[in-house]
Amino acid sequence: MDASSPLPKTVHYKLVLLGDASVGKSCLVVRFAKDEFYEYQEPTIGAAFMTQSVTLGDEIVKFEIWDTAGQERYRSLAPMYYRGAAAAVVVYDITNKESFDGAKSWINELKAVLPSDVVIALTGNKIDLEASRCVSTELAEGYAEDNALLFKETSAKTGEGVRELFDEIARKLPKKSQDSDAGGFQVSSNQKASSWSTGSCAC
Amino acid sequence: MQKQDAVESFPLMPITIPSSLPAGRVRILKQALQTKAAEFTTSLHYRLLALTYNAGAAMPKSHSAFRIEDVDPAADIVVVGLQEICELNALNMLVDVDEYEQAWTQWVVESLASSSHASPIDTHNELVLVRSKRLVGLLLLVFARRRLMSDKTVGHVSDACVGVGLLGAGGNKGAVGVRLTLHDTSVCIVDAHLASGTGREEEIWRLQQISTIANRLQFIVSEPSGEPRTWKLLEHDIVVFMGDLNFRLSDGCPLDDGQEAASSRPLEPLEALRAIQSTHLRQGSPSQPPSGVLSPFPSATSPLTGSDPAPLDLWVVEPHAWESLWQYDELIRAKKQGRGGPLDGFEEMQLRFPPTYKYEEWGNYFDMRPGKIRCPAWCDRVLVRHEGGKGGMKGLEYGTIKDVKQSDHRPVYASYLLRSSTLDRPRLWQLYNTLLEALQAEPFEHTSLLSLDPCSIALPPVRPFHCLSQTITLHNPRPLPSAFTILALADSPERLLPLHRSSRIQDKTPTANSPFHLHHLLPATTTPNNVGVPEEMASTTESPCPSVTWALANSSLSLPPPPCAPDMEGKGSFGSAEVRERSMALQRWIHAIPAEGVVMGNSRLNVTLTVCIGEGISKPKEGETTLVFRMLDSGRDYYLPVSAAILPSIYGLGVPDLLELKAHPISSAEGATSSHPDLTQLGDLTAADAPAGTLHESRKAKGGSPHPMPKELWWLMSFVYETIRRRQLDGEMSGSAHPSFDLSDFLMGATNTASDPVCDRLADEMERIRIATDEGRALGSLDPPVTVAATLKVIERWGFSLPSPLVSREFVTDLDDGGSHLVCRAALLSLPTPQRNSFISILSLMKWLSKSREGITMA
Repeated sequence: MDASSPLPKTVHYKLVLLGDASVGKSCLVVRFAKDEFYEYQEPTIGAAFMTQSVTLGDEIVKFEIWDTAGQERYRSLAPMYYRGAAAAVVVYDITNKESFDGAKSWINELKAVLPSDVVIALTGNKIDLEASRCVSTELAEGYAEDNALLFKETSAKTGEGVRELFDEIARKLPKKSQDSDAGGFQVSSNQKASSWSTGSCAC
Repeated sequence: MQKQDAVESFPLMPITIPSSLPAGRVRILKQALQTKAAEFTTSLHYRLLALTYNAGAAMPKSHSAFRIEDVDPAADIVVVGLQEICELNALNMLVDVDEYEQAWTQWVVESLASSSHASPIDTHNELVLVRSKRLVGLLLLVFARRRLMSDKTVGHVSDACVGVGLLGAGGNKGAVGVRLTLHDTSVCIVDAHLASGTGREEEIWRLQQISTIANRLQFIVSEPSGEPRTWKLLEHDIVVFMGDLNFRLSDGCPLDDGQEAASSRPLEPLEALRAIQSTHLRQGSPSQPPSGVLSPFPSATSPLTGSDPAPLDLWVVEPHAWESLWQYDELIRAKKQGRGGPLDGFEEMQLRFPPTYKYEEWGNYFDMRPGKIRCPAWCDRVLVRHEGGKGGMKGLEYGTIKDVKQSDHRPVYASYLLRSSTLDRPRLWQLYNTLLEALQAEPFEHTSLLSLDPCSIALPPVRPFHCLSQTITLHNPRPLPSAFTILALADSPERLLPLHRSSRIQDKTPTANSPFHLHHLLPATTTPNNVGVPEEMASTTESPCPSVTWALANSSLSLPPPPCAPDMEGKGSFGSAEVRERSMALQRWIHAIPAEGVVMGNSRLNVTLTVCIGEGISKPKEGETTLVFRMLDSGRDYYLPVSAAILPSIYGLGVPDLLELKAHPISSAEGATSSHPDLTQLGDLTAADAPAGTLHESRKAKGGSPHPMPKELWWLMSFVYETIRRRQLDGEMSGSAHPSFDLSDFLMGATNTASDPVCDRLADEMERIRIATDEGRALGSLDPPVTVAATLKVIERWGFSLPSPLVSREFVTDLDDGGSHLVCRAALLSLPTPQRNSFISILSLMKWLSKSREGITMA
């Protein structure tokens, strides 16, 4: 509450990872959250939650990350996870042209559904495989610019660009006025008091 | 508005849980609140007596009345549910004849007047009629002591009815209900009469009818604010569900082996009863020589007929002996297997009295006259549900009344100690705030690791009204237990629904082993079985089935979104009517047992998924979903895609869908197309006996498209018409008439007048008719031939299985209320042409049938 408090303020943001199957969403999260990499990461059949913080000046930005399944058949479940998100990382594989088209379609969906202040970051993963690149940096960067997206190329395997990606998102996120360093998961609006304080008879 | 939110959010208490709270913690919060229920509720106790009786379609004889003194003279509230107070014929379905209602009401009043607690002077304690509700043969009467009325303890009285019989809306089968409040506790009483008959399909149908009743029975009550609010059956704190539910005794547990359900074989009634009667004589009864047969079901091969005609007296049997029949009871079994739908959350006291069906009228013995014998059955039941801290029901006595002998049923009564409460709201909110803050302060991150085997499921094709099941193994390789709940993707994206209410929640509550450090919120002694229930109520009703505690059952109705996705179900509203309805639609075809629970550390748990297609679902695309196994205590969802190829069938498809398939049979069978019955043949129907102006519209459009009536219905009706017409002609030629069918077969269900072996044959015939119609084969060429009665029953079932009734509910309500012809006519004209044609055609066919029958009998 107190802005002059010597303790750094913690703000919570929900972030969701989207993108086609096997572009490296889970690897990116694991690299960011645990600084680990598994060469043979199993496909995510479901969704997984993880947290990681980024320190930004006098405040700590705590990301609450939902990593989603990339397979097309589960696409209809994705809105459950991106609803209410403050940021979305849309990942494609620079060695796979189709995954870039997939990313575009995700971005279109997000833009249609989410409020305009949601930070969307387009991320080309697997730059360690530069030799097999199919999607040029210029092409992707141009697309990101046209659509007002953050853009970053990363390698979950080497870790290159991963930290920077999340730092940049943290900087771009709208500043929250409320302090929520109690921890936990009151992520979006604080709807606590609105409904139950004046309830009455249920008969 | 504030209030509305509150009520929807947490049906038990006027509070809303913030949607950001993970499901596992919502459960803990609810449980904690309920543990402390005593701190914010004041309990008051009343005695409730429920009595159900199938009156056998006749006017009452006064000397047949029961005496409340013999049952529960101290009852504060008496609810009496009667079925078949009049014949369920066409006339009575259209016009409620008052004399029956008056006579039966009088009969009940006389029975209650015997109470010594209401002497003529003590009007204060007199039982007065609070509300009565009638639907064709159903009559529900609710009485309360006058003092409860005068001090306004009883309030918010409202009634409702729903027909689920003829064409899915007729009042020949259905339910009537009355709801009221006792202080802050809402109580709903339902009197139901469900489909009769033996066999697996009939059983499923009864279960479907229960779901339909639970969905459609709605009460409108004016709130203090003046706003009308709709209450559905299961939104009440206490529900009493009674009536002639018609569940039978049958053999086998078709769901256990994972195979397609075999049609159940009826028991050999005589052997079963005889064995029980001869081996479990009550002490002091006239002794009989031991028969040497110890098992109640000696052998499946023992002959049914040629049995000893000696009278079978069931009243001399030791009450505990009936226990051996429980395993054969369809309702007990369905509840045990979690197939009971809404009734899974209900409790029933133990059946320690003889089956109440079927007796000699005015006699003491089980009816063994040739042609009258039925498999003995506990058709008449009383079940209760009490969810939430605001009400409790403790079963006191469950029995039957031997001396009320007017019909072939015997009345069943159940008496309860009912706990109602008043809430101390400020105290409740204060407690709630404290708990919520503690819960939100806990960190939320825990990695659970679970594997599902198999990881996707594709079931073979399944026909509506058949079942398939498959087992999934959940493996938790970590030392910590993991709590899960299974959700399914509903019809619209972004909406997940709890799969099924399991009746075995209590032993799988995550509380005891939850990885949260929140035990301080709950007293160490708490067990989920008696959370929040005062000591005297804790034992609750003795039930032969696992019971659901109010604490947990509700949490499965309403789950919050995953963390950080506050909008998944609207505003995270709990158990709202809409969500519940959708949830039921989903439950119609897929069930999981258990649908939630805990996989202990380093162990496996099997979940049985059952696909059972019923009412309103037979479009192939609806047989696909993704199940989400959500870890309640951590941020992890596992997906399991499930698909079941649902064979399209006449059952379950809507009229517009049937019309779309005008060129081909529903399921195109090879070479079947050539043998379609010629639709033009039905022109005879219009010409010959002229069912008033019915079919010419269809004929008009014959050349054009679309056909204004489902061709399958046409085929079925044409078969009925032609078969009878042919028979009539034969009869005229030979000079003798063969009235080989009875119109009442159609109206009441042919099984009512047929003996059990015939029922089996009928079910088999109906199945063959259905498949032939699905495949577009002519019914006349079936071998062995099928009967008119079975075809009529298929038409009836088709009507029932429509996704929405052929005629609107309002229209039927008009009929029930004796609405004017003008209103009916207007309602009829407002129907889309195909629906109107179908409805008028069926009515005309019925009219024609009844006329033909008169002709036949007169000849």
